[in-house]
Amino acid sequence: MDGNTIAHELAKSQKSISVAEFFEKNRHLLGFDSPIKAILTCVKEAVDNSLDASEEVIFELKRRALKYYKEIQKLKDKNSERAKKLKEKISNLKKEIIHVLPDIEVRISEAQEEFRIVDKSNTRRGTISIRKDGKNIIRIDDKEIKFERQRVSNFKLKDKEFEIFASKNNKGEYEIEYIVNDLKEKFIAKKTTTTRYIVSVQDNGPGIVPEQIPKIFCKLLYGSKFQSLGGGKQSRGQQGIGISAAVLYGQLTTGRPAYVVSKISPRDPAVYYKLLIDTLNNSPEIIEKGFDDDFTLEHGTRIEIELEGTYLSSGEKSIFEFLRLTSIANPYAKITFIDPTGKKTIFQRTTEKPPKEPLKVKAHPHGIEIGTLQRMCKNTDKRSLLSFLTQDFSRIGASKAKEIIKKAKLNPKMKPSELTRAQVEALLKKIQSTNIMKPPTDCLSPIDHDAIIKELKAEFEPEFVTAVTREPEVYRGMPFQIEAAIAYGGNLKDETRLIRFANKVPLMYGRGGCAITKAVSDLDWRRYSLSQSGGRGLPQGKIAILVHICSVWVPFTSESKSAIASYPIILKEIKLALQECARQLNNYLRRRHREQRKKQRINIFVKYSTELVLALSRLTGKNEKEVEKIMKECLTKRYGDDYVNR
Amino acid sequence: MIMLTDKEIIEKLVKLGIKVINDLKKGENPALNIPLRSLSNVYYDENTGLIKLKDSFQERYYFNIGQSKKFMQTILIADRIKWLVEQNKTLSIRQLFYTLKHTIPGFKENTFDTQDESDPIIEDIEVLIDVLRENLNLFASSKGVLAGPITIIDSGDEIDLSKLGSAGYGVPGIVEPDVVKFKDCNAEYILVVEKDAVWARLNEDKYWKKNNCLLLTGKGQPSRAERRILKRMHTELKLPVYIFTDMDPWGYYIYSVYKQGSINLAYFSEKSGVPKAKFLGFKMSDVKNYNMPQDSFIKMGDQDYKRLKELSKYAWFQTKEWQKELKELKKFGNKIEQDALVMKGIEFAAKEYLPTKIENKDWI
Repeated sequence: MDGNTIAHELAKSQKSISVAEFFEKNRHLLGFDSPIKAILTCVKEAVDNSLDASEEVIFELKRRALKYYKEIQKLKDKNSERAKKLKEKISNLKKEIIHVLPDIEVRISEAQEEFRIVDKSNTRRGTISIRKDGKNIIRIDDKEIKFERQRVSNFKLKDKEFEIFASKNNKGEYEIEYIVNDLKEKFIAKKTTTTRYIVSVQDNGPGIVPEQIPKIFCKLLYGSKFQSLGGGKQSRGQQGIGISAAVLYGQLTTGRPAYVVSKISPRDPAVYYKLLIDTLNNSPEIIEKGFDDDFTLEHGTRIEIELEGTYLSSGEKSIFEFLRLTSIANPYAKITFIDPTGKKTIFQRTTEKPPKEPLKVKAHPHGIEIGTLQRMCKNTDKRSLLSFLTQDFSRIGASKAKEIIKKAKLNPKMKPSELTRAQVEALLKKIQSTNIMKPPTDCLSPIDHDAIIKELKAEFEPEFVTAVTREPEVYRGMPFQIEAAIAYGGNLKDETRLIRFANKVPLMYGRGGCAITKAVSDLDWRRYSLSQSGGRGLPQGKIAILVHICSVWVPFTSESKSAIASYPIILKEIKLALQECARQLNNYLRRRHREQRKKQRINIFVKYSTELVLALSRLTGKNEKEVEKIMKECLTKRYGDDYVNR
Repeated sequence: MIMLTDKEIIEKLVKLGIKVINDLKKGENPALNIPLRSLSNVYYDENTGLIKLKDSFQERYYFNIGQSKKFMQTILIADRIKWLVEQNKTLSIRQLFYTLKHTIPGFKENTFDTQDESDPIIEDIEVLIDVLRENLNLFASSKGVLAGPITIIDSGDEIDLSKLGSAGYGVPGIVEPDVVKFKDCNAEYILVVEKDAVWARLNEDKYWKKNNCLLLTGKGQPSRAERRILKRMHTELKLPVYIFTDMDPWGYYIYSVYKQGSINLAYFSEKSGVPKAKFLGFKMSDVKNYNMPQDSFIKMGDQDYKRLKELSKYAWFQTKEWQKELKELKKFGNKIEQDALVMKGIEFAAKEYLPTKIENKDWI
């Protein structure tokens, strides 16, 4: 071959692109496709990380406590000195757990104040940017002057050609005198809405070892969360793209590095980095590194990202709402939010009960797909089919495995990697027709229905609330679990709210294409005393519907992780959960309706009684008071407390 | 119905109230037993030729959401009637409504909103205590008009009904003997016409003078006073009665109300029905006999057919002649108004149609 073919030509322009470069061109995949969404996604990724980090500490402490507990169980004398010591250790650990429950502070601030300079004829002449970091810029006509100063209420700038005198008036505007070539002009600079924000998220988690910081924040697809198919662990993030994508977004829109500070123990210093991402090589670029003495927590991490975005102060897609929902899904977390105006909102924890640690699990054989099984056969290190089945899957014991292999007419001693496609298919068929225990639940960490009820009560003060946690189920070999809740009345507005969670993370976008929305819309809510136009879509009224899916692997429809894919079994589980809640709501509404009817009835009789009493007394010539007394006694006799306490 | 003295009426009303109070005392649900005034509770008495009330009752309870207000209203009206009788004052049923209409203290609701609420309750009380409204000092503003060779003493005033010009004598709301007395009468029969316009036409032609008869109209569906005065004239003056209406189910029914009474006021039939009344027309045979022009036909609508069907089932329409008439009308599919006779000439009804029909006894 002499290398002159068209293919050779094409090959010259074919090169691998870095992951970072790819995502730079595909922001939408990661949730940075609109300015509103960008700032929210940034907060979301950082908060997810913080919650995960704080939980790590809790789980570690719980594991230690468990170890001591097991040790006590082994002791012969449960009242020995050793046992007492261990018990004390456990109780200290419990106290410590409460101490390290997630405490997250989210702060959104304007990265800079922007002013628009206009002259007397109201023509735009330039801008002023007053930045938080003191690196201020003023532009007039074609001149750009940088000046460094914190707290700028007035400033003077001088050059060979010009002089600028600026001072803030009581309206918050700058009055500017601009002298150029001995000509004096007066300008006014009015504040405009900024599009640059600094997102700052701080947690009390375990902190990050300094060397790891650049990689964690500036290398896409890096982290401990990335898992192979066929098993894993429930977690908020799944691919490890999140936070580095936010850093990248900030970098792309503002050119500014992310600031990360972390401290791993009271004895260690707080180390900070200013980081950029080398998008070609998918590697961190350290701009600055040092110690941050202002970081006061014993341990924890804070990240600050400056980015272009649009900040919504309220509404379903606002950061406020996101944090509120996050606090509902994580009742043991305290979340503080400080908005750009400095207003502080604290979403308190409603429980000090720490979350359950989701354990790593192997794939559950039910629902696994042919491709996955084939890959597992290829990749396994098990030497025989028997050990492959018993050790790479959950809930398959030796006898079950033998039964399956026998039914599939295979040899238990054969190497899994040597199975033909037809044999894999036969194996899968038999696996699916065999009765296998449901997956273990310890791989899943639901919010818990009691906690959901508490949270919804705290947030909406509803007149009625109910929640349900379903038993785990399996899709494609993945265990998952559905929780649902319905709140009614109270502070809820007359506009149905659909609250979607996946692995304790609120889903703010992608509502239309989500399995949760589909399941809710498919239900005939009219059967549960609610109105629903045409028997499809969301029910109407002062109602909030909450659905949480937790799974080792949540099936999102896209990388932006905003909508759940509609697997039939998932739809079915969501519907069953909703129906259970809806039945409770229906009972409540009907009871309420009955009571109202009863009250209305009595009120009718009371209403006409005054007229009736008067007419009767006139008609019969009996004393009015006496007839009134007879009427009241009759009402009391007939309707008892309902009449007396009406 | 028996004529009761005022004292007896008051006693009956008071008893009603006492029963309610006693029920309340016992903690029971007070009920009023009101004879039903619907088709299901009337029957046609062939012996008398009148529609009469059967003995079904409707219980009206106070502790019943649907009936509570009506119950209260019934007692309010009973109380007011008692007061009227005691005071020996007379009120129209509309005035009665106004004396009772007020806002219930503490609520945004009236005791009565419209007269449509109070009128049926007055009828309820009539059957409840078995006394006619006319004896309860209540009357309805009547609309009927009468003319002819008769002198009437109305509340002491002597009125010659042959000298009342184009308007005639307006029938008063109550025509009981204590209000209206008949003095001299030379008439030979009474002609009742359905419509005011036809009455005015005949009056202008001095039909009653030329034919020596009394001319009455109830202006459509007659109210109680017209029916009552017709009955009194028929029995006390011994005059035959001829009825002339439109040729449609509604006209036929008006005839039957004069003759046998109405379903809603079946208890009033004895006082008002004229079983010997004859139906002159307009009827199916007249269409041919008088060669009515096509242009006078009006196509029957759904409502007409529906009413026709109902009529054909009423017991008092079960004669051969009437069934034939109704069947033919259904087949014909058109109605003819009595006014349409003017198409044959403006004096056709007065000079030709009515006199020949009466002479030939061409009636049902």
